[in-house]
Amino acid sequence: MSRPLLVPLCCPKCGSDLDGGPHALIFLCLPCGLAIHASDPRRPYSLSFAAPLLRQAAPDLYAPFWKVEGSFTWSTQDPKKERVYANQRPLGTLFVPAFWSPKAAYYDNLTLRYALQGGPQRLDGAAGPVLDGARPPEVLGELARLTWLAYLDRAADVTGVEGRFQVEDLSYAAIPFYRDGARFLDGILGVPVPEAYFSG
Amino acid sequence: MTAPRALSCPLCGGALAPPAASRRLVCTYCGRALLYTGEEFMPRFMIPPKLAEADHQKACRLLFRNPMLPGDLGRRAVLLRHQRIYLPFYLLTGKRGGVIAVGKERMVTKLPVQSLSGGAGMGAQMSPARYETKRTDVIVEEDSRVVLGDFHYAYSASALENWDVLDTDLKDMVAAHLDEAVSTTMAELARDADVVDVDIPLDRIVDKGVGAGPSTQGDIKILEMRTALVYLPVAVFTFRYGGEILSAARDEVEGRWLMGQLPFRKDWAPLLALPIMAGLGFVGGNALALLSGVPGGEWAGSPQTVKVVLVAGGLLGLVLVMGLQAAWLILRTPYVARLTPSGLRVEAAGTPPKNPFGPLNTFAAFMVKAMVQGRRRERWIE
Ligand SMILES: [Zn+2]
Ligand SMILES: [Zn+2]
Repeated sequence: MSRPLLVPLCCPKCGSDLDGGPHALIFLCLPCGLAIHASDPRRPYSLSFAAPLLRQAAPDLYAPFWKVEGSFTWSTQDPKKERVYANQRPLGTLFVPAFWSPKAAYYDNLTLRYALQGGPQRLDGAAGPVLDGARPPEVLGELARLTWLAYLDRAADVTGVEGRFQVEDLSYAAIPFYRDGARFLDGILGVPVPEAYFSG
Repeated sequence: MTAPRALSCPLCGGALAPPAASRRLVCTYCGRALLYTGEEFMPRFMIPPKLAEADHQKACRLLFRNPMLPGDLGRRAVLLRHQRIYLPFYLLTGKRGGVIAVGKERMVTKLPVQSLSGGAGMGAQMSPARYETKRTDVIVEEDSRVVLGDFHYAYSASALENWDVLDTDLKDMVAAHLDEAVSTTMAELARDADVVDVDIPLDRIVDKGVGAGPSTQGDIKILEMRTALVYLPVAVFTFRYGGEILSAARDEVEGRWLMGQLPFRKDWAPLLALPIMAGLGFVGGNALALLSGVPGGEWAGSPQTVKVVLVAGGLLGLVLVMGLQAAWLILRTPYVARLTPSGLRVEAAGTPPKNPFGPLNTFAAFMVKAMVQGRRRERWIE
């Protein structure tokens, strides 16, 4: 039997209505701190707000990211590559944008920045309105694997290298951004992104 | 896939219309939040119009000054309607990624080995190895590239029949202005404009476009894809000029004329008559010169005056027949100046009326045949 066309959009914990804007596929229950993707309304993810590290003021907007934790393992027949990779500083937690951005590819790769320079430290920031999120959680494992492989490829070519990423925990993190003229600065590292980054 | 006409709330049973703006809707009866899971649902965006009225006026003035259009068009054309329409485009965005093998070519220069093992001093320098050319080899090294990135493609969502616009022109325009796109709803679009219906199914786009594109390049897979509709604003102007109704459309983002049909300047016909008259004068003059025996032209020395007069008369007749037909075609064929993104193009808007010079053509053809065959026979005798 096919899925009904209309399904109740309510929090699996408290039963109240979930929030989300016109482009959302991820809906939130702020009181319970839960995020739910439309593809599987019975599977909630924990929602948290990253506390800004650079400013005290309330942010102009919160952009949603998937916080992907897990372990990456690789295998290669080449001992030289093995050595090079082992000496690489491992990537930290991956924060993958969950919002839709028509031209995200052209902007700063925040995921890699956070993974190398340190992402949100404290996830106890004040709650606020969050941009619509849409990215399905199913793709995060492959995105994480490719992010790792791309990172290793910069140190030594990944030909013949097998990489596996085991997702251990997925959660939904709202990251604060501040308006700065015609652009925004993230509240964690102060990385500028153009306004259009959030135009979805 | 089409949207169902009516839905019922799973909580209270109330009848609801399928949502237009958002997958999340609130039941009008019980007030609870609901999620619409229909696959045909697509978020809508529009590229906001950027051109002001004054800009359109300036562009129209400039267009009407085109030498292919009647000189009084700018003065006599009356604007009847200035209307905005939105053209729909599918926007497919998402992430794709994978590891692809790319061979990396590397030039390796090999120095001659002997020069190192040769004797000392002068001897070594004079050894043949010293003069051996350095060998350069190209070594293809294994190399892989990790691809992880966003993609976005725009495709026309309506067939735009009656529109003489190249699909690619508009697609490129939409793609170039994506970062200006803002979220919108059908109601918002329809408030001040006509919205062109989507009539190309999305499945066809996905099969032919994205499916055939990046996913087949090596190991690069489409990891996720979202579809949306993006609307491009176009200004359509309707003018009255004499008894004719004219229209022209201009996009409101870059300000390019997209399509339109304008009258072609008829006074080109008399101008075209000039070379025809000149031809007639030339042939007629030569014939007269021959008849009166005044030397001039190549035929002057010929003693066979009668034959030459016949040939001249034949040519005169031919030029006349051609000139009459050219004038007929220009004056009677409904020519139009068609507006396209690459400029104005003159075209026949319909088939010309039946040519009244049919018998004359038959006669002219007979004459030409006779003259050509006559010359051939002469050569044959020679
Ligand atoms: Zn709740
Ligand atoms: Zn209801």
